[in-house]
Amino acid sequence: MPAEVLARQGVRFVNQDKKVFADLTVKDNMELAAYACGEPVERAVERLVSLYPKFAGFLDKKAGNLSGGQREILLIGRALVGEPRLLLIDEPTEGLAAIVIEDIFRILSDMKHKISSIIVEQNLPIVSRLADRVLIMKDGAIAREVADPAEIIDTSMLESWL
Amino acid sequence: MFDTILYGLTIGAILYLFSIGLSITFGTMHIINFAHGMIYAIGVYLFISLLPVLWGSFPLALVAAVVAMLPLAYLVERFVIRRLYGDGIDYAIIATYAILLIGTDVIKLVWGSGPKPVSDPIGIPIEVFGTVVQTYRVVVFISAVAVFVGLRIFFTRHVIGKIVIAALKDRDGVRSLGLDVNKFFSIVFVIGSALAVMGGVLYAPITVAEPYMGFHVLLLAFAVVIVGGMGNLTGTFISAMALGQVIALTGRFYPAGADTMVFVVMTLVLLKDPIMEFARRLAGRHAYR
Amino acid sequence: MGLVGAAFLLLSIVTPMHWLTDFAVFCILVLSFDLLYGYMGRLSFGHMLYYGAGTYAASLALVHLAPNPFLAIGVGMVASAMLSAIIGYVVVRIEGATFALVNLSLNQIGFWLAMSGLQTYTQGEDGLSSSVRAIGFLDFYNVPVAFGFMLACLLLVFGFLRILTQSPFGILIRSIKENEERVKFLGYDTFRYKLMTFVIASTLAGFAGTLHALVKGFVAPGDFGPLENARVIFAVLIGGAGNLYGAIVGGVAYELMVNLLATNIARWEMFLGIMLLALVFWFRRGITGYAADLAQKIARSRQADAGNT
Repeated sequence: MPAEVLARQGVRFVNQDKKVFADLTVKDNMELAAYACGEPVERAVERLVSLYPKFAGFLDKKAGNLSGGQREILLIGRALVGEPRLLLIDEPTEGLAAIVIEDIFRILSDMKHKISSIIVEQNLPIVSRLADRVLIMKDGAIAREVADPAEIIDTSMLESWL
Repeated sequence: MFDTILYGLTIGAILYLFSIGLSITFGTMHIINFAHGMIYAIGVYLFISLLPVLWGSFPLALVAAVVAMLPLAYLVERFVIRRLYGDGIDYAIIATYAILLIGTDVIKLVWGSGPKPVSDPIGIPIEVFGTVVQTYRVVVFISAVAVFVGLRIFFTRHVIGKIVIAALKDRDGVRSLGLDVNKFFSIVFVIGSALAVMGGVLYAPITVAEPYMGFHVLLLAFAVVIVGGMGNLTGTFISAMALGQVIALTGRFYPAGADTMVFVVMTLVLLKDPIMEFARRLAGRHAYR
Repeated sequence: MGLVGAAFLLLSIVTPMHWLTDFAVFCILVLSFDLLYGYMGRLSFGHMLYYGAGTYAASLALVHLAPNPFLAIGVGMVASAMLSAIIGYVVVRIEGATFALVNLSLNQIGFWLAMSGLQTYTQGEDGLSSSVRAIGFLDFYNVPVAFGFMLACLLLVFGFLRILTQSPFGILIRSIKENEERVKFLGYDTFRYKLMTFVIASTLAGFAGTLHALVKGFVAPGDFGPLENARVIFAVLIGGAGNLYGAIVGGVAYELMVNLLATNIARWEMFLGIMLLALVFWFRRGITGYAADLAQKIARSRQADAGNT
């Protein structure tokens, strides 16, 4: 199914490459997402700022100049426009500094009660704090489900599986 | 000298109007679109036929010719360009070249093979900086600048323009928002085609209309687009104006070589890296790679 | 190789022999382009430049040095080889659309040189006439002899390319078409192979050009203008790119079409355009591609029959 049709049905992706529309401003990035859903730009921008208040200061900054973590947050913000039903996020914390990871963790845990998400993540402490259900994948297939998310902190158990 | 520079600006203006569409199509679809020459040439012939019908009004016939070409441009985009997206550069070149051939023959069939002159709609010369020049050429140059400014506003302010700018580098990102990229590419393709027709009609009084005019302008426009950077709209403007000057200045001192000089410049620009590397090798410093 | 020779001799029963002389020359040109495009995957819109260089160099040698055909062929081939080596040194580093267009513009520059830049030598638009002296029985004004000579040249080129494309070198350039990065990764200096292929293809095009000078005794800039490249590209596509038999089939099919239809069909360019579109959209694999499919189908049904009985 083409990506745009899937998106219109309420399924959004956030890829792991953290690729924003680099030539456009932060606000423009949100405008495109809002335009796609027929939502007012102001509302989309407002929600982005509520997600991450620092954005209020550089809405007119080129998205290409943002840091990796800010890009990831912008991408999540973009994907949230238009009330999607399912969010797929690939490696949200990959390659990011520890402080930003904490910001992203906070955003993702705030979202938890509003929208269903499937997140692929290798940062196990984050996974254990965030996830309701944890599935371990190996070679492209689901290897097993972990009953208690806290349990995956125990790496020795994982080693026996992977 | 001033009239030479003005002539260069006029030629640059025409080249710019024609090249935008080529540049956009390359930027969005990665296709070299020879069919652009067909839209341009047929648009001009249509203009020539419409002119007497529309009470000899140049602006009216210009608008009518542009509007009349829009559906044809859409058909080319929808059924040829879009079908060839992602198929490799060669099939697209061959297919759009075929369309140009067909268009050229249609012109010969409908309008005949001979050249058709178009008279200067203004005709009154004016004095600029102490030199007497054709007012029409000044108008052509100003129109191109207006189009340049208009497109800049469109691509930085209008949401459709922004979508296209975003999709140039991140097609999948735009699609993942739920936007059908093809629809927006069609819109800018048709805009580019309209500007090509405009360029062709504006050029007609300076030269003549003839069936192979599409081929000739294409060759020069490839040089413009390559020198300016494919898909780079500001670069296209600067490059068109610069190459217009190359044509005008070469033409002043060595008329037979005017157009060819453009290709010499283009070749040098394209081969800048290999030549630089060769020079480095000659200098004995080849530790760069 | 025998197949190609036999096919041409068979054709000579139904087509005028002086046509076939032209066909053979054109087929050499198509073969040379197929090496570059079909085998190495580099689409050039400027291949005719080397054909033109060969033709003009050969004609000039005939006019100014001696009316000896072998001298003319030698001079023409050396000229196109040297020109392509210099140009190739820079252009083979680029690829894709830019490669096609930079060659187009170089072809345009060459066309202009013949047209006006070097008018004193080339006679510009009027064209350059030359004549060849017969050597023994080899008289180019005798139609069967000229045909025999051109056919021999075609077979020679065909045989050479057959050996070349089946050699490790041939496999390597085909791998460059598939995935140049991988070939580099395996430790090959792809630049060297690309340059060699470019020079070989251009020299063979120049060879075809010298033969043009010998049989026609006349050359004009229009013979190698940038738009002429469409003929060669078209011929390769009809036959099926990347197949030497395809190049021959395509060359002959194209020439037959030109000779039989161009005079009868008033709208020749339109016809050519529609055919090209049809080839791109529906018959990409060309005549030889579909012939191979058919042969395979027949072989399979025979096998099935044999299994049943």
